[in-house]
Amino acid sequence: MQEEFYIGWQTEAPPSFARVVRRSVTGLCVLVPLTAILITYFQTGFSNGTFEFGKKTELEGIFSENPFPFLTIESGKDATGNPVFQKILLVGKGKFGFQKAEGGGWRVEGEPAFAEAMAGKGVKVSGFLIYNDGKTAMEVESIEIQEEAKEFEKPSTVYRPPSTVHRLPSAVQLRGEITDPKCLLGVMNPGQGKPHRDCAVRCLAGGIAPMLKVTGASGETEYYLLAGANGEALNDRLLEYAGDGVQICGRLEQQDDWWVLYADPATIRRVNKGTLNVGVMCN
Amino acid sequence: MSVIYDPVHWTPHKNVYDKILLAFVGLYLVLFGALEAILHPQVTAETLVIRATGTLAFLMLHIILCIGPLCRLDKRFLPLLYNRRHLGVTMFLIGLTHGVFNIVQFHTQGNVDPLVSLFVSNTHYGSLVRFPFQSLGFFALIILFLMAATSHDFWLKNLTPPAWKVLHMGVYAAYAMIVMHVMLGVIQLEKSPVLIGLTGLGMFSVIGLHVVAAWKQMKKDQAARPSGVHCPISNIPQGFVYACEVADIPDNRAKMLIIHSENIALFKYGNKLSAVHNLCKHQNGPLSEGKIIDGCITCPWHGYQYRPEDGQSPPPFKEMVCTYDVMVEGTKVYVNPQPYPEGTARPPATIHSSWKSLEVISQ
Repeated sequence: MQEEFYIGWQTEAPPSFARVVRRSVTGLCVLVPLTAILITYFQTGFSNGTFEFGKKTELEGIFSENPFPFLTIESGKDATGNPVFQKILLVGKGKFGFQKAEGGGWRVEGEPAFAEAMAGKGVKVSGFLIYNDGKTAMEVESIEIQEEAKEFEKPSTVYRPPSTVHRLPSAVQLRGEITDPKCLLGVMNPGQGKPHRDCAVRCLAGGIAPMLKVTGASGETEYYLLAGANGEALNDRLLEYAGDGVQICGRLEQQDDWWVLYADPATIRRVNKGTLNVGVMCN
Repeated sequence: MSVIYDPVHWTPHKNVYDKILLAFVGLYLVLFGALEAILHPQVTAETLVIRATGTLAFLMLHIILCIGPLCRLDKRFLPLLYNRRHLGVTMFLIGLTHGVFNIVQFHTQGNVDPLVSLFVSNTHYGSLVRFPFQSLGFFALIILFLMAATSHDFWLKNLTPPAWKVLHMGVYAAYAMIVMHVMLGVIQLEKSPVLIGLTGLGMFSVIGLHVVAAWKQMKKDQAARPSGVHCPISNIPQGFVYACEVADIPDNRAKMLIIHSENIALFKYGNKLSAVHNLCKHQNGPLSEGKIIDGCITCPWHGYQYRPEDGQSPPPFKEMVCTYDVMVEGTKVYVNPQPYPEGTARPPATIHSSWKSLEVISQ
């Protein structure tokens, strides 16, 4: 029997070759969708972080800048009728923080800077909200100082009651992942871990506040903005740790619904990410 | 085969091949997107594109790399090899989409140039766990770009087949980098053993098929080495080596010989025997696995043709391979492994009906 021979430029393939090609295509009909199903089904889930890109929001509140640029707004009343305040972390466009300008003012990337200081003043901020796990940030499009500032009760006198075991007023050692709040809260999903490391580096280098994400034993998460012991920026010191698991010591301060860890950068140690859910407290 | 520049030399097979290819690409992307929307509605559009294109390109690269050894093991897979160029270019374009979206997502709108950011954001080049895996993907994409850009036979001819072949063997370096790109990147975020297992299964398939095909080729090469050395019989001219019996070669087919490192295809057609270099000038296809069609040796890989008596492609084609002297003594065939320059005409050895006939074809 004459052995079949295939030539690609001929119009017909020999039957035995055509049969194998048909079987290969049939196999791919199983392999291709099965691969898509397995990858999408078994991949790690995504957070509920939201970035309202394109949906502009205007908020009025009081601007504070120590140690990070916040807009404090009244978000409601507690059970006793006292106002509850919420702090919105202000960040810039792209991978930039809401930046301190020369002369003490602040500026949005690409916009003229405010020459005068804004701390404690009433401002109207326009931008896109980013929120997840009860924390909110805003990518600022524009900000203006209000001539007739809305009078709030002094924000520092009214706080929500602590609700997690991490909220200790003394020095603590925390274990978590160094990341940036803009991406982690919703601009990117996932906004953490090895795949996001480069982006976190760029965001921290661009002045966005560094943040420690701490995951508790049962999976609950808390977020801690990181500043130096005296409130100075730690961004440059933390660049090499972005996306890594670290332990770090410092003094905790609650600012309404945010925690700030005034950390001693000398205490930073890399830790295995497998131990991140062990929250260690120390004096 | 084409003697003029033709971006795509369409044939009925290529039309069908490309339609099936695009159907599979569309099926994967649509299914991936639909499943993500159902299972993970929180996913962002950018992440969806990055993951869908990245996983699809990775899957396609595995299929591409499996086709070669599959053809070695069973030539009936050859139709998949014949149009592999389109598969490769499509895979590159999908991988490029993945790469561009990654650079835009992770490196633009920052305080340094995106391409600079790619290499300076994560500087843990000395650490395996923290290694900047995105740079591996970038360099793999560069290799795949060079391969896609030079995939046309125009470049094969101008770069010369050996240089072109070396360049395109870079796919293995690209594959190694992409595997590490995956293992040091997204796999470090994922916890499911299924995804790690899928990656391992893909690697096992590619490496396993190549090992088995190489083992088969090694056996074939061993069988192609004639047991005899220079013929001790006095009436056989110096330099000729016993190759095989006439009956060992099917009609219009060849026997592969490796004599003194010369890779030779010894063809029998009608009552004639001719020997040419075994490697096709196009992509080093094994001519000994080819067939005499319309009086020409026809390469099994892409159908390039050569006349057996002078190793030249029929006009207007200009490819040429080396030729060798062949002689027959009775039922025994002898070949002189000293090659003649490419395209040198050497009269075929004639097989006589009586084994007593002796004809020496030589100088």
